Amino acid sequence: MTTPLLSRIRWLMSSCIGVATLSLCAGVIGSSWYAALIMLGVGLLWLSVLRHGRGWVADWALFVFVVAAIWAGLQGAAWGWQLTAVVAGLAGWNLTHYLAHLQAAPERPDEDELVRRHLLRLAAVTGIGWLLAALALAATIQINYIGAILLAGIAIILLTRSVRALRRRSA
Amino acid sequence: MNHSLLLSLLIYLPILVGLASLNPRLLVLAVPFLLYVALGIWEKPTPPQLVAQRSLSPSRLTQGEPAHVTLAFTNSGEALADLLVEDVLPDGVELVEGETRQILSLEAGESGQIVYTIVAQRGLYTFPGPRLTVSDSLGVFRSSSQLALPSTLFVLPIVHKVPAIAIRPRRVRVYPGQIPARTGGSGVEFFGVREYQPGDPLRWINHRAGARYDQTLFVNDFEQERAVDVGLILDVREATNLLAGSGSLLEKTIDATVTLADAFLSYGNRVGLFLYGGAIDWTFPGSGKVQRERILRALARAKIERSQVFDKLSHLPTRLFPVRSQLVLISPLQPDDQDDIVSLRARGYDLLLVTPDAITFEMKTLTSTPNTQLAARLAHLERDHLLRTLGRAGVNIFDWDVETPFHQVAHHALGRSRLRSQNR
Repeated sequence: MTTPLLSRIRWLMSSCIGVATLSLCAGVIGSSWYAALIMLGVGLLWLSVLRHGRGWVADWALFVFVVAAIWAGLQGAAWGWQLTAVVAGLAGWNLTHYLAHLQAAPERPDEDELVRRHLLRLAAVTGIGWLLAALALAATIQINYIGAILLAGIAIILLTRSVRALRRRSA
Repeated sequence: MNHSLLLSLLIYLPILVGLASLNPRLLVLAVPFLLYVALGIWEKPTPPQLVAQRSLSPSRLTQGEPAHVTLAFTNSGEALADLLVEDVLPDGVELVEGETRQILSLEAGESGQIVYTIVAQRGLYTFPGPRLTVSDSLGVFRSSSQLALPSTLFVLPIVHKVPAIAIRPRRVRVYPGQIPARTGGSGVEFFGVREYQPGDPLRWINHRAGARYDQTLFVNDFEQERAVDVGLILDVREATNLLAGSGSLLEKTIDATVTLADAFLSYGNRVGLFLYGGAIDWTFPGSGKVQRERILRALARAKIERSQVFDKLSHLPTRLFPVRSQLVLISPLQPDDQDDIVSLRARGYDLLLVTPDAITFEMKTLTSTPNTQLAARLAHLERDHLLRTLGRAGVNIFDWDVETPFHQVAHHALGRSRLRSQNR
């Protein structure tokens, strides 16, 4: 059952995917026309989820977008486009799954409140994420290679521990 | 793909590539994902603690009737940002109104309910508990669990009323009923003439007989009508019950059994039911409405059974049925059942065999080719031979074409006119 609210989420999701695709195309078009076309194709494929509702397409599309953003970054493309593409892709991916989640249950007694809370959280996360990343891009901290390795190692260890703890808790 | 696995990959990938390529700007691509996961961890839901109650109205219904289900639940734990409650329906139950799934957010102490309507085919259905899926507001982490909340729904077969089924077992009970008892007394049907006894009603005096003798009066004697013991045996063996297309022969035989049981019980007889084919499923003989309900419930849960022990009728536990009582066997029959049925007659049981025509039933679902027609013809010959042999052994046979519902043909085929024609 499609309600006006679901239609709005669908529109928002399409917008996010569109923004992500166009940003990525704009980022890679300088390096390669072919890559831009491929990204456009992936974006269109992702949008096809609206018709057939296969969530795994969104998973792979987001993965391809991130890989393409990394590749474009290595090619020296402007970072603003890559960051925008990744953040919009994350929002599009989340909305794709959220839409499927809502459609799985036709009965939603407090749908407005539920969706409003979700969209607020998503807007906050993507907005703050984009800002933090942009700030990080603007800031310059001089550390040597060993220091970088050490910091990255600590980050990876902490992240791994937190994910493991989380998995243990959920089990 | 698992969400947490994908997000982990998307966090590690820019970090590792950035380190490997000595490009610090790549690290920032991981920041939105890190923040996303961090919020998911922050809001990670605790396992839901719901107190739920399911009510079925009614919990016993007839096939085709709707049942209204209400699943009410209260959150006795922490607030749940995103809760998906799904009341899982057993196989064979069809949703006709409402929804069984609901997404909602529940504050601590808050309640919700799911209301829906179902219909089901004949059977005994056990509802498992509702399935609960909770997630954080972004849907990063999800956990599912199932509440233990079993409920039972009985969907009884439809009872069709038919006039009295004519049976005449040699053994009758002491209670009054509708079955001719082969002894004189008060009744309706003329039985004979006997000498007048003081106390006999004067309207019973047979003046024509008395006119032939001096000083002797004769009275008409009537055949007593009593209740009897009836043992219904329903064949649920896999070998005899065909599944052709979407229909099952068992459903037809169950319809016949319900009709027969109701007809016998409504005339005060004592009826027992034995489901032959799997484990021993015996509804002890009884009479009245309670027994009718017991039989309906036994038939509601009847299904095709496979057993190496009960694959032939030779293991029928005849001790369950009183000697010389009436047995009604409802079975599509197998060729090798002949001896076992004849031996039931030899033990003194009056046997009525209701046998649906499995060959015609199956032929309706097959493509008509010369081969299938020849096979059907041979099978019919074999069946006719079997029925004729059983008829010679004294078995009353009703060969039923299942195309016509049992209750429509039972009146003519099994009514009192059958006994009258047999007597002639």
